[in-house]
Amino acid sequence: MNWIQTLVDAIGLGSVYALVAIGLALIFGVMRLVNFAHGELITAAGYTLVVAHALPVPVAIALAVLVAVVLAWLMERVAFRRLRNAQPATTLVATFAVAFALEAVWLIAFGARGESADLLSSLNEPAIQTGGVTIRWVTIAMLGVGGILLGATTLLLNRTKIGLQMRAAAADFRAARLLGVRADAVISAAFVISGVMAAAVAILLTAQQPLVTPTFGLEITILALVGIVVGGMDRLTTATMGGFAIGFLNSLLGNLLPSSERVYLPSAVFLIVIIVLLVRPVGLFAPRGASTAERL
Amino acid sequence: MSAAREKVLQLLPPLLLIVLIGLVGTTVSAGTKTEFTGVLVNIAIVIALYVFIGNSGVISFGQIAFVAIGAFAAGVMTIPSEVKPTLMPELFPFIANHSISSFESLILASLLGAFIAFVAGIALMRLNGLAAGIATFAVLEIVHNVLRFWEKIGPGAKSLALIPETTGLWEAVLGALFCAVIAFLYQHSRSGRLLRAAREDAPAARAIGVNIHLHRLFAFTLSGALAGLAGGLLVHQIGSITTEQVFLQLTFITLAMLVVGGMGSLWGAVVGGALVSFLNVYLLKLEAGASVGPIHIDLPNGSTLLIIGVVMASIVILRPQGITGSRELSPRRWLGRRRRGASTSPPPPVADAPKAG
Amino acid sequence: MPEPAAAATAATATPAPPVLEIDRLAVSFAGVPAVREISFSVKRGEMVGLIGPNGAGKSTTLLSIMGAAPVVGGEVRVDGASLRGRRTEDIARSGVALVPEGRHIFPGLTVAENLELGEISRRDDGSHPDSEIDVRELFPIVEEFRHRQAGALSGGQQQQLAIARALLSRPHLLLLDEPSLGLAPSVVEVVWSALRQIRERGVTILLVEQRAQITVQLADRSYVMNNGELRAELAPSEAEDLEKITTAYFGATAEGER
Repeated sequence: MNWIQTLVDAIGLGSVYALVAIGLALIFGVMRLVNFAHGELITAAGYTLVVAHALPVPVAIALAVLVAVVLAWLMERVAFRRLRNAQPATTLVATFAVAFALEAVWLIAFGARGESADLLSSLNEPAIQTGGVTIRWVTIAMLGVGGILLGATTLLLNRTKIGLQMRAAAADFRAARLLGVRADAVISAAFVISGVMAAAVAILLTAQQPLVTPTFGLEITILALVGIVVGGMDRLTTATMGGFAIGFLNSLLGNLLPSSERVYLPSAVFLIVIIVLLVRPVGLFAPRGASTAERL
Repeated sequence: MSAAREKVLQLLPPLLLIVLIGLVGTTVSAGTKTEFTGVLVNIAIVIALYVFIGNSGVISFGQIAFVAIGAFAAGVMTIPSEVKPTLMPELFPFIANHSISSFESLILASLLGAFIAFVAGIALMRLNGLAAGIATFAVLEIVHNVLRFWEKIGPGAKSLALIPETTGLWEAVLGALFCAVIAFLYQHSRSGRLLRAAREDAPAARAIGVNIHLHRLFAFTLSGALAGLAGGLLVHQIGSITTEQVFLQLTFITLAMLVVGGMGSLWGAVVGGALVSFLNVYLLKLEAGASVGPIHIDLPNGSTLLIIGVVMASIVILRPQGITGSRELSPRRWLGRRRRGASTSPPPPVADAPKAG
Repeated sequence: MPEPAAAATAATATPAPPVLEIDRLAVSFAGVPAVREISFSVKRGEMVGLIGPNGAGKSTTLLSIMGAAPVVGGEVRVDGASLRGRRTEDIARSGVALVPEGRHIFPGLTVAENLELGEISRRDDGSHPDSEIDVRELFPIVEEFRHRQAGALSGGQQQQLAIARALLSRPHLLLLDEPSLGLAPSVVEVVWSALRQIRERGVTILLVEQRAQITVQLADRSYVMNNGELRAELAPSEAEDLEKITTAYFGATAEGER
């Protein structure tokens, strides 16, 4: 196993998890809502690719984005909007419930065994092959799409009116509303962006491995959420870095563990998580001097 | 004195409901009796969840890990040692060569649950509430992963069968009663009261020197012990188990029970456990295909999950304190004051009280 | 008339309604009353003071004008139109600006970004040219530190930023909540002089303060609030009458009520 290869693969998967983390952290930042149901957006986009696999690739991708964005918007409109003033513990349970209800919908509609979204598997062909290093197109796509969406989000937040309003709302929602920042607009924008991120994740993951099951998005969301906690959930940057870190670690350990022990990959990852939390409970990337005491 | 008696009276409704389910369970057919037993075991699990979540206000997704530990420990240790090598050839010798009684296995299940909860809690309980809740997934994932693949301690991915089915209806009643009494005692102990006070107003609690993290750790450990016990009851009820039965889906269903009932009170935990368990049982029957009067209903697989998810989400949105309002049911208020017509206004619900100024 | 249609029709028959009318307003937090059926109004171009001890309900009154407090009775009207049921952001966008207690600037954003947020509610329909104020001239400091993080400013500078931000929405009604709180005396003077200038440009002001004497002096009228009720009304001429102010402030229950 070549270490360059291991590293490149790990960065690729890290980028995908960073995209999951951005989607989650934006919503957490703006409305203090931990959205477990984010994974269902990924699954919805995945099943859209299953259904649309016979269509031209750009059309299928556009449909996947559309479905994820509409579902994200609907979730907020139907369920989460009523929880704006609720405690974080309450909203956490609510999003968990929505996640399982949607998982049941996938189960009823598509069955438990999974369906194949086989439209981008040509990306598994090697793109670069030199001296034992094989870099597949899908890894390049992960890096590229991850980088572009990260950059686009940064630009949106820092260079646009709605981005400025989102940052203000994340810092102090009430003060922002007193200035005329429309709560509905800011929150809808956050959900729409998270929908786009979820669709991108679904596209990248199915390109690597086309099987979509009802729990397709849930597992990656749980891992990314834990990554966000490890990184520091109060800031978008630390949360995104946490997401990247857990994806990176997952891929790295997956390659480093001897094949007989590879089944223990989740244990290894989560054990490292617990150790990191023991050492730095405020978040791995949180600035020095930050404390957990502010919000219990 | 009267305040203390008032409190003890509050323990009666949960206990009576558990006994009532047991009594009704004796009058039904054998198949339905098993379902009633299952409901009581679920109630025990929900009470275990309640001990941590209800008192601390921190949502934990990890308590089912301790149910899993209890279930597999109790299961593996009560299978006769003669059959263990054929079922689980890889087992550590000291596990393979020893077998204990079902009762002993319940004690073992509680102790293991408490121990693992304590060790995990040392790391997790230092986090703030929301982060701690999410991080409890790490415990669930590790326990599930290890139980699923480590064949030296259990059956791995295979189903563990031939476990003595010693949890009958009355054993389940006793188990649930025991959990309820322990939960009640903790809730009114010094630690429990401090933790509940901190749930309402963490800064104030810290200001008067309450070490919230320490009390959370204690509640987490106690909850782990009860969850282990409930896992032991579960495995002796169903007689066989796989790791998938004590993972995400059970986490979801039991959390739904607690939330629907009202996560702030023992009464809520028991009521929610009973209602959602019965709902679950009968929906699953309809999924398998059943006749209700002249109509034959055959719901698609997943319908149960969907309906419980929608019920849970609706309760959280419309009535965040659950159907009991997260209050204990006080028989005194119920019986005594009614005729005066005095509306003793209950304390306002914990959530969302805006602060003046 | 650039007034809203309903108000314009009314104006043909009767004199224009006051900019702000508080009509038997009552606010409760979880059943605990904070404001008990108070009524008063502020006319165009007026500056009205609201003074009183901590916890009197002054801040709550301001927040309920902004639709950010649980109103249980009565109503607030701006230019004759009821604000009942309207959202905070819509009230802000209709030309009412609040400089909240504790300033609530966004410390992580730059000064320029904070100011840009103030412009969200600006209505470019030219309806209130009288409130056109060059905040950069009024508070040179916000121009000087444009690119700094707002959190790096001193308390006095942050207060100036907060007022500047509110003015950028070109409000015709400006609500200020304890703008002098926690500031050094020299900075307080800057704030007061800015308030005088803002008022000279014709902006209607409701000022909540704990510094009673200077508020009474500065405002056209001042109300003393205590325990959720208005206890007395004071004219600027009474600013020197310390006894009257203190009686109204503290001992009001005996003589302040009918």
